[in-house]
Amino acid sequence: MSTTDSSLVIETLNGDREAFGRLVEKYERRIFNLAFRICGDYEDAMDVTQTVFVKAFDRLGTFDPSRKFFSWLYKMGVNESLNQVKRQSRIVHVEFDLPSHAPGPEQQIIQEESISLVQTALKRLGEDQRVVIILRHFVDLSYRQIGEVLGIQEKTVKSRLYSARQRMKEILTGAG
Amino acid sequence: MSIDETYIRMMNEEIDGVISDSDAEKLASYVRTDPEAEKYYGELRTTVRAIDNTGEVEPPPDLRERIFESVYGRSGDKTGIRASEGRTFWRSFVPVFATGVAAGFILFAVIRQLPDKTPDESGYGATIGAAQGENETTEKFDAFGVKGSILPVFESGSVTVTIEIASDVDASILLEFEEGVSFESIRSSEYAAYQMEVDEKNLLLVHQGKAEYIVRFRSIEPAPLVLRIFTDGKTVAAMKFSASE
Repeated sequence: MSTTDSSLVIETLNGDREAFGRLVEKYERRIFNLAFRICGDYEDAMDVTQTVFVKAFDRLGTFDPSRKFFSWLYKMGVNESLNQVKRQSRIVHVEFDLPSHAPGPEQQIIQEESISLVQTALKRLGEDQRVVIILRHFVDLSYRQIGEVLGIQEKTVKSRLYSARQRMKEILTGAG
Repeated sequence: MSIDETYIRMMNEEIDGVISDSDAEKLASYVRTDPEAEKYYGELRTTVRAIDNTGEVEPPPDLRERIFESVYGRSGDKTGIRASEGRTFWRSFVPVFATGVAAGFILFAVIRQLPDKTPDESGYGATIGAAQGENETTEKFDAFGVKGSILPVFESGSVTVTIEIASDVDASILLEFEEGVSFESIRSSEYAAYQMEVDEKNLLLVHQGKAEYIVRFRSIEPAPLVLRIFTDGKTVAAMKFSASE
């Protein structure tokens, strides 16, 4: 865990709201995106993100400061998102808010289609493969960090990731 | 598909930027000479590019506000964790630990007849009170493969905490101290292997093996210290030391 996170955790435990605010500021976007990719639903991602931070706050006293805060938080994010997916059996329609710097209308359509295809392909992956793709490509974690979050060995991370990419390739190229 | 698994691993490692130079050369040579491998690698890279180009989704602008409302808006909670200890780990930890410690205190107080040294246990897994100049209150812990004892000694102008610890795994010892107390020194027994971080309010020791640590703080005024020991994300012990008046 970085010194900054460690200090912020301890300051939060000491009742410093600003410190907790800085932790939220640092990780809300990543937790939200993690949840969005796993759940495939904007509203669900909002609920999951809120729940993750509430649970993190409630359990902050049990957090071991010599461990990595992000691993602890992402693990909570993955578990909470998967629980949400299990709770929701409805068909998911995903709407994307394109960033303001998006290109022209034609490019936007291509981009939206591409995003939609990727999201659809993600949903066709098994839970283990989907999570590892999301942690690698959307949260930008290394093999080692993914292993820490999921509590699995690095070689298992690689194996899952490579299989997941192969499956994504098959789906996206129409071979799956 | 007749592509060797070794080359598929190399393709993925190259995509992730973790391939060695020698493997990169082998892969380049292989892909150049095998059309099936070239096609496969091209499709794999396109797939990864498509995933990476998906980009981030913008969270709602009021998400942070909602989180804060969820965290601090419950049951009229307007302060931090210390003031709402009921929700935190103390609630789960206190019943087990405090029961044992309280029983120990009662026995200790009866035996030693020290009614004026009853410590403030509110909100802590255990509280140890030690009168200035006296050092008889040793607290033992034994959980999750970490065991040992803690002995705080409050003297005029200083607090000394002696920690004996034996652990086969990494154990983290966190000492929190308040204004009026500052870290002065640490002595460890021979061969003790530990890492330490210290700032104005906290001292963190990461320890493995068997050792004794003597941590000394300068104390302008009697102020409590909080000690917590963790291993593998689990709490081994939590206690507060206070100098008795």
